[in-house]
Amino acid sequence: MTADEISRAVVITGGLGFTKLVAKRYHGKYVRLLDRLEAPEDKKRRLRGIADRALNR
Amino acid sequence: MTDGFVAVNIGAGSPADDGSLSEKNAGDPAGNRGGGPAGNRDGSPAEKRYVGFEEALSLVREEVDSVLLSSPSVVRTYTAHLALARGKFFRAVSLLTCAMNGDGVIDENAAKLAAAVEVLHLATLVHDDIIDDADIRRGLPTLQKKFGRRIAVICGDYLLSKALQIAASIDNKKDYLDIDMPDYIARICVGELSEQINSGNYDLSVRQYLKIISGKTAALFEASFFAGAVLSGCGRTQYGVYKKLGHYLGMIFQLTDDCMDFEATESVAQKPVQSDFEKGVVTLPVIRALREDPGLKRRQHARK
Repeated sequence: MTADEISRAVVITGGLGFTKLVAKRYHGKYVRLLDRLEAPEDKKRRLRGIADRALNR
Repeated sequence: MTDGFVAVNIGAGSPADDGSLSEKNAGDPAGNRGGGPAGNRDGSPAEKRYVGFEEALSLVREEVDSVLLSSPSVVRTYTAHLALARGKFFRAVSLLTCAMNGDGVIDENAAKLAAAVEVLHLATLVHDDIIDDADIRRGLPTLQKKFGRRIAVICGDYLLSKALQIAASIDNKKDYLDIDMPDYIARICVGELSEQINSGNYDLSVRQYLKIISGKTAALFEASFFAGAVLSGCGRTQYGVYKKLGHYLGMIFQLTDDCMDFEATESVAQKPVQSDFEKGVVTLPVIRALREDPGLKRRQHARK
């Protein structure tokens, strides 16, 4: 199987969608955990921004 | 207080003329959170210096450039090539953000640790490119492509040693020992090695895969968050939260990277795309595809 064939397969079978879903789940965990962080709101906002950028690269 | 560790929330005071902040820690004559033997050589208390985020990031860039551009000439011939294309400093930004104290300023030592993390990251990339026989990184020829594998191996080793040297140069040696960067380096190596061992393993499970990326990618993000937390003076009870946040961020980072390998163009990714599968690296999109289409796995096994 070539790289092009596997590229098509990961789209057709939902492999990419699944991986993005797992990434979003980690993002959700991250955001929920931020609530437990004892830190100023500005710092939390910055940390949230870092995770958003990582998810939406 | 637990096991002798005193968490001190240091008030920043007023900005100094140069835009940075500095003060002597009145609560601890050594200027330490951890009570370690930090101080000036004449025995006087070490003066802590606090900077804003942008200045801290500039210090990180200076420190990294210093490693790449001010090394002995025999090394600089090669490392200068790496300075031509900077990364996004994702890990440094994470560390500095975590290092912000209650007043929103950052212990200057955090910039050293952030530089150490970035140099360490660079060392792993140089070695990765050798393993992958990669031609392009950050839009430029890789070190191994331009100068050969032997040179690249040694340069990667050099960068690794410099990363540890920078990290060990922070004022409070107890902070350095607490962070235990060598342990994180070991975790990265275990993750990388596990990935190599599982090259072409089309039976790799999701759980196994997540464990691999937890080491090879998320460990350094965890280290960055933890190091930032230690220097923020937040107190030990929060360390676990920071570590977990770093771990989650690293997982997000690698999973999106895996998707980019299939979705991005080479000009966007600044590195080869659709390359993981060709190298035998089995990533989550492929694991899922093989699970959803058993015929795919049979064909792939037949090829092996």
